Amino acid sequence: MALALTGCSGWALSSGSELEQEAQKVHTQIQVMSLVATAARTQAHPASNSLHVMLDDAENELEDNQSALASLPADEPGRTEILDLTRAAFGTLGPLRTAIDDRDTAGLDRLRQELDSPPSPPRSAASRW
Amino acid sequence: MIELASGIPQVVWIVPIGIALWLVVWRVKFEKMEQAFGLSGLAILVFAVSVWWLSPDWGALGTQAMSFSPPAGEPLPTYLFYAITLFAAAMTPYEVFFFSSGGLDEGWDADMLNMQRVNVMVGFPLGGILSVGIAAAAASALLPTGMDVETFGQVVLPVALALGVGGMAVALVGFFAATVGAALETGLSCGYMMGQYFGWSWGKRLRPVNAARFHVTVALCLLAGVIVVQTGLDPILITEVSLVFSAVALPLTYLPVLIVAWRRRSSTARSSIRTRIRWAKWTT
Repeated sequence: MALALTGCSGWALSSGSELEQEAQKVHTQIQVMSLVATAARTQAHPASNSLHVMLDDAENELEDNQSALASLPADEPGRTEILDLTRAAFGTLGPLRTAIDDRDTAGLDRLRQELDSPPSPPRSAASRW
Repeated sequence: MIELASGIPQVVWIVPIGIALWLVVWRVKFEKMEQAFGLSGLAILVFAVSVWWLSPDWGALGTQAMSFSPPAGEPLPTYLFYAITLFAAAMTPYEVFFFSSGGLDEGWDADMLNMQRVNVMVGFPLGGILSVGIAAAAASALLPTGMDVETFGQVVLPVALALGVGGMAVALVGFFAATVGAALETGLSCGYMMGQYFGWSWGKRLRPVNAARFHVTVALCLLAGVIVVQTGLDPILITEVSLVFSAVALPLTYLPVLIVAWRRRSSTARSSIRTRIRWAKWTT
């Protein structure tokens, strides 16, 4: 029974192709960044420690995603678009950290809008977008 | 969560926290532990409060809560896996060892039975409300985004969105208390199980010199936990795997308890019937 449940969990946690899984992970990190921007925007005194730790986690995850995507066949449909999206998310991390530290509400709004409307990858590669 | 509060990497905290846990198990009395960590754990109610601030679609939230089928796009095995692990998390086998042995260790007697009943009747539903609050906050703030929750920081994001830095600090206090409480319970229950199985003298109330093997076992269990966390393995993954094994052990743990409870009830019922028969004979 333990083996069946473990197998079930393995299947549950790894359903979909590798590209779809990576697309979902990148999507998750972009959503985290967007929510962090919203949280920093809505509170008078941003909890910069906590928000920075969340962004550090997102950065680490994006690094892993980038490595995993780079190891996939170059001709796989959607791979390039998701890789571009990962790079774009990376590029947003720095300005987002600065905006949180500076309590730049206009900058946070702009970054959140950018994050909420990323370029759409093909539906076959990222069905949840 | 300490990393979230302090910004200092969690690896730095593992050994000091392990030592602090050991000191608490060794030096702090049961009553103080229960009061400090039990009451601090109530801070998790901040999730339920944050649901109001997030102004969710209450109808949709209610429908999700009452629906016993996988959401659209969710494979059935995933749904069943989480259903089983949730069940196992609510009834982990170590709790039986901890509460039954802890009761003896703390010197409970029949006079305290009613208070313990009240504890169970109030405590378990309250724990359920806390869990539902976390789930409702996540469903309101995170589910619409289509993201997967993978880290601890993401769990407290709904509170950060609703209540800002103050709310997030309260949530972290609550999680810290709940996690420390669980670590103390599991460490002690390991000592209880080993002590009872091997026939050692056991009990937190006993000084280490009188129950050396019990105290060493608890310390070694805490050390094992420190080593596992220090390896950098994902604690959420470890918890998920351990819950799978908890689910397997669940019937083996609760079946004997249910059989004993049923026999006792049956003997009480038989005794009641005998009394009625005697009464009937006497009246006729």
